[in-house]
Amino acid sequence: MNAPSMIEVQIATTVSEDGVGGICWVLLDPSEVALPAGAVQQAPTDPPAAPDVDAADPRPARWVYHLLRALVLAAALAAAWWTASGSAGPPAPVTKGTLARSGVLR
Amino acid sequence: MTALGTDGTLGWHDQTRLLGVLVHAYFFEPEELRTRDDSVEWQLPVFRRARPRLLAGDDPRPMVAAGDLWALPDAVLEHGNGLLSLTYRNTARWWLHRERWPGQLRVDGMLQAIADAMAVAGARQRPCAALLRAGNALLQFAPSPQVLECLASNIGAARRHWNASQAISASQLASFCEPLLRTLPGIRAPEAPAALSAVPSD
Repeated sequence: MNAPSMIEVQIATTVSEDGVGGICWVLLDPSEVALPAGAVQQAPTDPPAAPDVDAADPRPARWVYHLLRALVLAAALAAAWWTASGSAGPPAPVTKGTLARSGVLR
Repeated sequence: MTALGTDGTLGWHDQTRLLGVLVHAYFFEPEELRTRDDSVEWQLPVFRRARPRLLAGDDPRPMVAAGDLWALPDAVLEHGNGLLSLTYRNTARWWLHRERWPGQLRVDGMLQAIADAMAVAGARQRPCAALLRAGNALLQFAPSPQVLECLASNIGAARRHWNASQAISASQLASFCEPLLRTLPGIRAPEAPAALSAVPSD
């Protein structure tokens, strides 16, 4: 397979009433992405598409993030429950007596 | 004084060098230009006789791409054997004082205009000059080979810097390359204003 050729760029360093001159040459690497060279002929109005995050994103996949977040939340809830149980004891069963003592039933 | 219109030389008022770029400046009164009907007179008042032909511009701005570089110049014009890439900068920061303008020039805008022209030249495969229309001055940039090489060879690095999985814009490339240019040997800081006769022509 042939490697894509370099893109020749000519920059004019002088401008006169008749045209441009003093040409400097430089080469650009061919595109590694999907933007077409010569887009000016097609005159598209849309800006380039947003970067494709999944294509080159080295971060873990999204489901791993959600799993880790759920684990952290569960651990925090368990720790809170354990702390509350240790300081106040298990919750007493709700009876008429407890409701009366708490003032709910008079 | 140069006989304008007979030898084809444009009537630039002043020039200076900035970070390896020879900058020509033509100053004008914006209020005076508003009365002109000819769009070329309004866009490119330095021309007396020539009338570059507008290929793309204004509405919508043309998107051009060459390799992994894309740009949105404000206008692309055909002029003789080549093209003109025109970038507008009409903000107050681009209002240049005729005596102090070399110190007022913004390098990022200059490099972006050159990168715009590179994208136009690559896309059209024709020689292209870089022009910038500030609030009260038309500027033409003549970059040295060193500057062009720096811009062209750092497109990949700029893509990685900006974490762009697709092509980068001319402004991103300009922003990335400005500090690199300042470290290149032979590239100097802005100089004091120079008269036309005092600067050796390239």
